[in-house]
Amino acid sequence: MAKLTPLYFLIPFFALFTVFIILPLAYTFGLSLFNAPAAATSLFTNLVGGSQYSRVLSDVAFWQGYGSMLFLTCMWLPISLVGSLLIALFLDSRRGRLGAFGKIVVFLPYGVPTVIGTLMWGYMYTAGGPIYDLLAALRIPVNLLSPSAMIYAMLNVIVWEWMGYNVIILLAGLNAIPLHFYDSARLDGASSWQLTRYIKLPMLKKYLIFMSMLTIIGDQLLFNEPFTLSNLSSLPFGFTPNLYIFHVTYFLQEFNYAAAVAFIVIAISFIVAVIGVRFFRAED
Amino acid sequence: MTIAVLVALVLYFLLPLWWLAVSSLKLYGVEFSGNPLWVSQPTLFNYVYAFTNASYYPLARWLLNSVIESGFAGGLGALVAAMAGYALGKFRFRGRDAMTLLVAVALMVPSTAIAFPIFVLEQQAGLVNTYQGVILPSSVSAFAAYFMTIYAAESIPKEVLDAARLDGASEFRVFRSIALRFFRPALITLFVLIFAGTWNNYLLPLFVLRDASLYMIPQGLSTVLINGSTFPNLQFAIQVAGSAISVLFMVGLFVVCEKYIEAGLGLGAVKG
Repeated sequence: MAKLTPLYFLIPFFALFTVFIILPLAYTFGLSLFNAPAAATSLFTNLVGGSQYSRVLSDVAFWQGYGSMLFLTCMWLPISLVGSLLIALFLDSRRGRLGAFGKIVVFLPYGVPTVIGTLMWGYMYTAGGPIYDLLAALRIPVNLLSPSAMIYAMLNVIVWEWMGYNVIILLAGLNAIPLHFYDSARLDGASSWQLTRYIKLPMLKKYLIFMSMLTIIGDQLLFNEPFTLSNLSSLPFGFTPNLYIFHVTYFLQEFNYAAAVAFIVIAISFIVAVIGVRFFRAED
Repeated sequence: MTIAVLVALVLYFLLPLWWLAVSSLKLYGVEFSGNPLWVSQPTLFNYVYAFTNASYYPLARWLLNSVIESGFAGGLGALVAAMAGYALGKFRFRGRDAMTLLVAVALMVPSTAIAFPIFVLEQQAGLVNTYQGVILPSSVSAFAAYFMTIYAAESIPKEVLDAARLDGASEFRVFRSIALRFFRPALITLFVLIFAGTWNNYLLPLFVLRDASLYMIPQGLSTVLINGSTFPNLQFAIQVAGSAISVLFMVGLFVVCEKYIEAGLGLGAVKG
């Protein structure tokens, strides 16, 4: 019994995990090795080996999407790191009722269903909506739903959605700092800036690396937001890799090719994660 | 200074929610005229209208479907993840590291990569167009299992478990009466996160559900959006009322569970 105990606890999860993640992934990998003609009765006809993968490597629409997504990440990452750090430090220094209220306010958008959150911002961006009016009043004549400005429209939506989650994680990190650290620093005459610079920031470094990793991987997996925005305006269907896979599967019905794209995306995320974990371990 | 920063945070983070609340109290045709952030003659017409036309769009049914499917997925998902996390975090056995790695790699799988195979599989199993067809795949969360593994390792002192075993408690009893008690914040956190993930899921139901009477809220609302304007005022009523209620429900759940989520995420997400 004792030896088998962990097995009993593992069975329910891994049964579901195998059926709904491993098997589908194996199926997808199988698909990626074929190139079935449109009229074929089975998707597993015409074995082509790795040629779907070399097609992904030279797929301009896919890599352009990756490029715009990287651009998005380059803006999102610093905004979410600096923004959530400032908000967390602010709320941490004002515990009590006001701090608790601020925490709820920042966290609320994370609870808003992403499809609806994106739609709300989308309507606020359109002519006659408050954001459009605000930008006009500031003499910034930008239509955020135009193709060239769309990336900023999306940036705003994801910053709004995810800031609260990051703030909560950082607040938990700040809470974990033993109080006697502060006391001894104060005895030594440290200013509150020095407390932040030499105690809080170093203690939070691990959390910030973890957040960066989640942000970079999460960016590739964005689906609801770009998909909803694409209903309101014209968005390139390769805007995020996850959106591209959906487009190729659902609209183009090129199941074999979509499978190869999916595996390239997984491989890239994997590389990012390995690098991230290296950094993370180095901190411990 | 404190007040100024708080006002700025409130303005930015609550603006869209305020806008939605205000818009839902306006009549179709005047929703874009006048002040977008204020309503001078509020009316509940949209809410009444949206719920009294079930033969066109069964909004109440969509909400009910969402509650049922998200609730079961959240409960089942949190429980199986807790069991697996307990085993991976608290026992040493062969293959443990490989299993943990497998779960971590599964975190990176794009939802679109497995939606179509899940559909194919469910077609074989007769799960297409059923509640279970949404609930079962939604309950599997690699994040939840990964999170629970770390949480289990950090939160339960080994001595407590060993003491119970010395008293003659069976392994299942140890799990039920001790581990689950320590897991409480984590279980609530995962229930809420899986619930929200299912509530938000647009992609899987799109592949798996056929009958409009089985739709969940996101798919229902986007059907209304895409179907266009046979009845523009009904379309408007359903969109604003459906969105407002859906948001209110989720936000309420998050606010009620905020304390647990903070405690849960703090321990489970980063350490290890």
